Amino acid sequence: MDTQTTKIRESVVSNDSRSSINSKELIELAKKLNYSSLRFMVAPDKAISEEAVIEDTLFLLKNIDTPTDAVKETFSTKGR
Amino acid sequence: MYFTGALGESLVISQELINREGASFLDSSPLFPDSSDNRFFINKINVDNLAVIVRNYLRVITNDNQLEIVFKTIKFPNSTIYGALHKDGKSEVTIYTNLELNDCWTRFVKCKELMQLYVDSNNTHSYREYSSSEIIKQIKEVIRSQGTLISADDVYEFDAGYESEAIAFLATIDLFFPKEDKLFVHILGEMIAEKKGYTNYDLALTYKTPEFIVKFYRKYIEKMSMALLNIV
Repeated sequence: MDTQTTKIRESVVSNDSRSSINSKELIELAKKLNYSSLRFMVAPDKAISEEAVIEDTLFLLKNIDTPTDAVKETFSTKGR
Repeated sequence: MYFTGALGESLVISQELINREGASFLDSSPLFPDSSDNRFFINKINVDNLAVIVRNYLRVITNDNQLEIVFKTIKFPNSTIYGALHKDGKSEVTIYTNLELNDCWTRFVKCKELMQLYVDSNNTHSYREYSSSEIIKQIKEVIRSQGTLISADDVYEFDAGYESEAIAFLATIDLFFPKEDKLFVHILGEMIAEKKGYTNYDLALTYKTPEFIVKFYRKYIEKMSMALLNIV
């Protein structure tokens, strides 16, 4: 098998592995958080892949209880 | 539930909400500011007011006087999620919007998630919540059912857990085109169709809504919305 073919095979295997790891991590985190309800809206105006949504959902769950710099509060009904 | 059924339910809800609150969440600008002409042209959703309205409504429905709504923005790695709604069980609801969205999409997504709260609190239909162990199933069904929603076909039913999402999405779109403007929007739509110098983008700028939403409204929602309002 030449080098170029080997690299292509490695890339495909790598993507599948990453997808599988993300799904597993997402399920474990969701169970751990035991959230009562989470709803989300995916982009209606562009093509999206299941793997990309899983990765974004995982990122969301990681930031729900312990917000990082990626999360910023912009408005609250408190006091209104 | 199929698309047409979801559309019917969504219009009942959106039009009830508008009538209930007297459209106080809409901001409008006079068409001719320095004249005695009282017509208003530019209307946009004031999301802050809508958030307070929905919060107060939910407090009545749930008897939870501590309930608050918080908006946060989040930068997603792939930008596939435009908005998310999370109830933490502590009388706080957080609505997340994608940081990379422009103002029009941000406004729409915030309203959609607020409508989600409103729709879910209406007991006119049942909705199915996903447990935490079903999150992958939820993702698959959201992607699949949203595809059905966007194509507006009645061939496939929405997954049970997605029905209220579809209703909230459609109701939000109807909300962006005020009752008193629907005939005007329809006339502008005819100009667009006849290529008379007005475009869907112009309409989007007027109502501060994504062009995608304008096209969807004109193609799939406008006719039934006007019929229910007896606008001819």
